Amino acid sequence: MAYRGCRRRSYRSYSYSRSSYYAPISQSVVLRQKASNEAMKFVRQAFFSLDYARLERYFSQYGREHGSSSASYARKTYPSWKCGAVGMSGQTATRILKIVPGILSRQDQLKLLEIYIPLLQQSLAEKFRESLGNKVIPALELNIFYQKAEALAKQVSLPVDWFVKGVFTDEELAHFQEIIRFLLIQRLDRSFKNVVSDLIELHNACRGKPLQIELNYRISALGAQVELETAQGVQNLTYTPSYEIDQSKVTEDIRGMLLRHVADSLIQDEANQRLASGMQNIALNELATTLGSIERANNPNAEAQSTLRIEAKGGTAVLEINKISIASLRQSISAARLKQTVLVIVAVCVAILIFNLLDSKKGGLVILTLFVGLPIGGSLWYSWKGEAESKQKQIDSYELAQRKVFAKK
Amino acid sequence: MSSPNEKSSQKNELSLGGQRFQITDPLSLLSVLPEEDRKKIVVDYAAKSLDVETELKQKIQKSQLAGFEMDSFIDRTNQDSQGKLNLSGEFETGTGKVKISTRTVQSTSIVTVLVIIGAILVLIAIVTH
Repeated sequence: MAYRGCRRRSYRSYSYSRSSYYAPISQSVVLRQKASNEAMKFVRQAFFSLDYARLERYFSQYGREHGSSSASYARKTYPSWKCGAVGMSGQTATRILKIVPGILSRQDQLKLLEIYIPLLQQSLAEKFRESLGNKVIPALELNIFYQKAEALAKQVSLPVDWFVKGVFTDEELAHFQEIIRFLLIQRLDRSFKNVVSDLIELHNACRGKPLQIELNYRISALGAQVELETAQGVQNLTYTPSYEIDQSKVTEDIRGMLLRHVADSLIQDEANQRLASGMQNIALNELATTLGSIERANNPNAEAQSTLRIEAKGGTAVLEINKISIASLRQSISAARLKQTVLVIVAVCVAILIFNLLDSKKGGLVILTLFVGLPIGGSLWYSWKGEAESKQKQIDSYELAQRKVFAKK
Repeated sequence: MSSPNEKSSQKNELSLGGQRFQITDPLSLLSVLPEEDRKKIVVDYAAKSLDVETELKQKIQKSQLAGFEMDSFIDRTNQDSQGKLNLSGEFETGTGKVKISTRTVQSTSIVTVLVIIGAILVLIAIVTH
């Protein structure tokens, strides 16, 4: 609804400093703010749609809390607020709307709570990612990590605003929070199974390939990275969530609302799971195509590098695939060793020459040869030695990476 | 190596108001909901399933196209038997993207080295005589 009439401009001065530090806003805070804004909008609309009886109840309640003069001002200004001729400032709006949730019908109160629940759920999921997202987990400690995430889900607070605090009892709020945690832990369970499935499938797809493959896998639900050289042993990991809900004392209307939310949430999760399974199949196909393409590059002196990013079932995998020309490297090593041998032969010949020159008293030439020849010979020797060693190291790490399936980062 | 069997969690029951629900079958929860809610959830479920199918079909098409492009890229690389071209390509796949680059490594010719050895030995022979 647009505001008409005089819009009061409040003069605020902003000072922007180019060197000031910008701290990114946490996504979970953003989601909680969004929940508050949506709830505020709902309460505001409900306020302006109150029937006569509820409106009278509202003004009586308002009078009891803020005095009769404030109540009569509110009663007089209500039509102007409703049509938008007069705006409500922040503090006034909060004071006026605070009483509204308690006046609403039970159905509307539940609708208000339903605005909160999905956003609180997302906010909690984001909190996971913020707390756990910069961790790097060894693949064989996945189950321990998920247990820690579950412990976090059980402890983290789920603050609700004044919109719902005064309307529902502490027990009812505890029921809602239990459901949110329960659903989140179910998602953890599903995420664990998906991640294990991804790691095993990626391992099987890359095993035995004559390539150096580096894998960077990030879990979608938690944001954390998994480190692995091989997925051997991952299939034996188990994680069983231990969060039960047993809410025997729930009122009928709350029960209906919770069941509706649970059914909706689980059905969404099932659809997402079907999508995730489909994505995994497509991703593995793309990986096989890429590996096949690189192997097909059959020029013996050709090297190929590829970076492949795929969305699998439980997370995102980035694979760095390298094909190096072992034949070229071995040739380079042989050439370096040969150059070192030639250098030795030349050094011996020069030594014989110097010995002959010493007899003929050409001392100057001898000294010059030694001062110039030794440093040059020495640096060439070490340079070729280093070249051969580094190329041998490259071959060794390439062959090790193939044996382990994934290269160490 | 095979994927672990999906054992159903022993804790997948939800107890609300004295009634227990198996949550491994979400659609079974619908039987206790009022008809209006049931209809809405079923319609949402059908719409979401259709969305999933459509999305997967699009991704498969994109994936196939990327596969053809990668094949022709590698064919061009293989045709370059002289090793004069250093090629690179980027392809959008169904689930992400792929970057491939190839380069040819110049290896030291053994013949060159042997020629150098021969020349040095000849030089030394001349100097010492």
